[in-house]
Amino acid sequence: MFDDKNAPYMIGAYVVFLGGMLFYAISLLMRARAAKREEQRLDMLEAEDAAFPKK
Amino acid sequence: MQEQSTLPENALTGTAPAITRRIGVLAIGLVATALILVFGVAPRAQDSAGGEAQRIFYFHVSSAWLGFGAMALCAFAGWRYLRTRNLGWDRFALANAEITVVFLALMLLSGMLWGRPTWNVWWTWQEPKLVVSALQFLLYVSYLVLRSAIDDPERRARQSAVFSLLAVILVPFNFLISRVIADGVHPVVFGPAVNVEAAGKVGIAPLMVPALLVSLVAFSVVYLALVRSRTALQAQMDMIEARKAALQ
Repeated sequence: MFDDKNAPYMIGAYVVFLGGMLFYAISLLMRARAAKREEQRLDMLEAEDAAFPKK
Repeated sequence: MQEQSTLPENALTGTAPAITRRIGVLAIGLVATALILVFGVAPRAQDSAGGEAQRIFYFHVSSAWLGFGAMALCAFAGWRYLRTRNLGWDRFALANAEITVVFLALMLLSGMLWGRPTWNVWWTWQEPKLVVSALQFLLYVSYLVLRSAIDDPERRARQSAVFSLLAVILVPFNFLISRVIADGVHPVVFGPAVNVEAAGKVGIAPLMVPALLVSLVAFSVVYLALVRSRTALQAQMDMIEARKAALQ
């Protein structure tokens, strides 16, 4: 199978398929982590806001 | 007339991450099974169909299925948004547009990798199906750019919905184009073809069926995992924006 003259194209395509899907899944994971960090930062800011209300 | 929204605020947002994770694990298992069938069971094609490169077909067709399906669901969500004004539908539309861009890119790249050994070119502007597919990819990239350029959520959702309803017109056009244009070289595997002389006679052997069916199911489950994750992420991001606005 891998000795075929067209095998590099087939391998390249499956690298593209699996790599593309993995890349998108990782991008979702990283964006979810960034959102979680942002939420924690907002929790702190809201707590500060509640402790020292604006006049 | 506007309909009363029937979509709860948390619907379609993947509020059950445990279920999304299970769907993700199932998707990985199904993709692995599809790979075993593609490389272990499906037969090698004749040289005129690309030889070993023809194995690209299984995931190429599945990427197209997922990309075009996500386009149709993006338009459906846009239509539902216009009827209900529920931003949950807009988040679902955004998730589908992003998935469309990813899977159309995979479809186009894999098509080029099959075209090089089979047609001797990476790309040809003479083949209408390729041109329409590239146009669809660029349209959905534009959709994402358009969204990022509009700040007001209601206006963004409304304009995106109209855009998606116009862009989806190309889906049946893409499907039919190789079936009605006689000199197109893109193979027509399913249904009657008028381009047999230009593209050659192609068919699907019985041993190819399991690999193709499992690939289609695997990509459908991948879609479910991705759309739930992306919609949930957008709901989380919208919530963050609302909290930021309240703090200012």
